Amino acid sequence: MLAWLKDDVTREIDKRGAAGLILDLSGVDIVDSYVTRGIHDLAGIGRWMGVKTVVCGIRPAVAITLVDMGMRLEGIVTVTSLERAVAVLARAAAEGGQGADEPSPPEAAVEGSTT
Amino acid sequence: VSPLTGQLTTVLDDYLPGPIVGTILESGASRAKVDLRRLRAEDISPLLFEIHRTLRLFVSPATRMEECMRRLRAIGGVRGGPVEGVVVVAVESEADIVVARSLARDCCYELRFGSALPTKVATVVSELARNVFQYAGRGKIEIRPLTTGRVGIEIVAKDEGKGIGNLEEVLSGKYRSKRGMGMGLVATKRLMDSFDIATSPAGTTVTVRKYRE
Repeated sequence: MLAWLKDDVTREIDKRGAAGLILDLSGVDIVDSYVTRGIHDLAGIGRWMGVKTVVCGIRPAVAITLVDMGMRLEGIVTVTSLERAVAVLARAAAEGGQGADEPSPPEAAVEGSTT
Repeated sequence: VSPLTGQLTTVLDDYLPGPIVGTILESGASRAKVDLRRLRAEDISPLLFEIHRTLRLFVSPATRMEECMRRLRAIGGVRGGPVEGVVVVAVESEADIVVARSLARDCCYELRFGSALPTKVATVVSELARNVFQYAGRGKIEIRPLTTGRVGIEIVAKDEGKGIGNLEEVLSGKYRSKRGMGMGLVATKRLMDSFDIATSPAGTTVTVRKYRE
């Protein structure tokens, strides 16, 4: 499942010349170590490709569980909502941040669900 | 129409307007890849898993939804027991991982687990079921409500795989397998109130418990 998601995300980043990657987890009710690893991998892949990743929409019970599990966020930007995620990436692109040699609005949004 | 499908329809008719029942069952059956005309007892669990989400949109409040699911599961008999019974889920595919954790979460709701507890338990079942599937290929998850004495839930994950040779290293949190099993077991231990593991070249059994308070 994750392999398929990685293929999709990298293809879309490549095809669209995206300035950012948003992982919206508002529809995900379980985040286990496998999914956490997937998030880190996707963010890492994005970074190698020159794209900044923002995670949004983590549910309260999921956040509590992740902290109890001892999961770390290392290097991952998180915000509450999709709107804020877009704003963060737009700002980064405007400031010519990572991967924004030719500033363009963020446009890669890949939906994932692991229910 | 199989007798089991008839029984499911009868229960659903008590909670939903007539025309929707058929649609929900049919779309659920196609997603679960089961045949409504020849429905077998073992098809009920995957079918209920598929229609569960749709049902939640139509049946409220939560107590009524729980009652509906309990009645539906009782039809399956073997797998979906009410609070006093143990639920056993065979883990043989990725989809079974999802079935196992959603049944565990339902069990938590029935036991009136509050706050983030159902999510923690479902996450643990996800970790254990994934380990079973990934490292042993197949196995089973038992979900047992504890109602005498302290109210809680017991999860047992069993497989007949090769066992974990470096258990101490894995549990110390220093070991990271390529697929992240180390993380999964350490996380499981941290999330639960009790954690017990028996592993040998003949297989692995992990038993965990979480109490309501």
